[in-house]
Amino acid sequence: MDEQVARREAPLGTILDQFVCVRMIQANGMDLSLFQFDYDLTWAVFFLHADRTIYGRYGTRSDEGGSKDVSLEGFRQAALGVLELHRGYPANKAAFAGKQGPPPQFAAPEDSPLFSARYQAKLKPGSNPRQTCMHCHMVRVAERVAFRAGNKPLDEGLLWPYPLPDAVGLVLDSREKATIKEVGPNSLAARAGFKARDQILRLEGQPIVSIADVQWVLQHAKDNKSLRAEVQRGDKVVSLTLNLTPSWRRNSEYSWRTSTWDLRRIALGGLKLQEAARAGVPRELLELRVEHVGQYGDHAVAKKAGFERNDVIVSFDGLDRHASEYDLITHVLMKRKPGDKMDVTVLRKDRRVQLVLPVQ
Amino acid sequence: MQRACSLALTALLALLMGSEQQDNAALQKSLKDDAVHEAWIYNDLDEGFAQARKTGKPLLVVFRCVT
Repeated sequence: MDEQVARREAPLGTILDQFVCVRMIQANGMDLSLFQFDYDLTWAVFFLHADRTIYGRYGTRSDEGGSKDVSLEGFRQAALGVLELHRGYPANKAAFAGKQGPPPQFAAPEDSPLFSARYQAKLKPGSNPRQTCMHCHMVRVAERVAFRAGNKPLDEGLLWPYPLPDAVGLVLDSREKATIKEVGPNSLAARAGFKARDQILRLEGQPIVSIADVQWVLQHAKDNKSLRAEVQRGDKVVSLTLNLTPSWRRNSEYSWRTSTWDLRRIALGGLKLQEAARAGVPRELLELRVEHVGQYGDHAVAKKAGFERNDVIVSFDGLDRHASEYDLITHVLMKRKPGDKMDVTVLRKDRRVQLVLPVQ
Repeated sequence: MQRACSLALTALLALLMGSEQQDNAALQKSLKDDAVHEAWIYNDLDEGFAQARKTGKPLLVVFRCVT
């Protein structure tokens, strides 16, 4: 997809001629007061007015591959939608206010305490970009580390960032402009009255051109909030109210995110786990095999605690029922503070071994 | 005298901007980020905003991890 857009392949060419197109390949110097988005993306688009008003965002990912969540046709539809919004500017300016984010923790990624010693705002000519370029996901890592330094459990918004619409029961078609493909039965969206083929026009008053725009609104929605929506249904515009419930974000999944590596460092001491699924073991019991043990620095905390590859975790901080790696990370980040110690039991060559894992 | 200073300043700015463009061209080459149509402004957001103000067109900014 990136190559197709970079080469301006048909049917994009004439549409992109109506934009000033900028390709940014580094996060160094990124103005975080303006460019706030799902930083775990490796490809993300902003549509803007020259006065920094954000018309919309494009770019979504729900798994490690990410290709199913974007399409050239969907991107084309989003761009056409933006051109229509631009034609209505500045009369429609007030509608875009919600697309600007809150003040960021740091002005730019390299300003965070985690990275300030290593990265600069501009790449030095002749330097190796693979060593000096900052990646977008580093912004999320820095935010979490800064939050964690406050010795608090992690905020749900940081742990489940940019929830996909399916967290509320909406599956959007990546080939169309903010158009619903399916509504989950008994979901929050179903209760609100959304239907398949509805095109979301506005959410909380913000014009919507993409799945990313829906995610932006969801990112800033609190528990128990009601979101106002307008959808095009046939030749009618229908108003709906989406009522969010406590912990609705947890319907999202984050294990695919690049920034989850750092969560493994914090919560699992650098371990990567997978379901063991041993024959003869009841499914309801905890059984996670250690697939990888971090070897260096803070990623080697579990190694120093005595964990080994192929250990099978059967008890973790009092949990012994079936859980995924994702569940364990969530448990630690929501319930434990840096410096806490957790009792863990592993099976190693059919022996039970007791270990103590510190939380970072 | 004032005119000479103004001309020198303009020349210096042009030199700096040209230098930045050269740096971005070198960066693009080192990253082998070759399949990019010439219409894209490469890694220069300031230039993008300047062009958008000049032309009245909206901006489309792609953030892409290439490394």
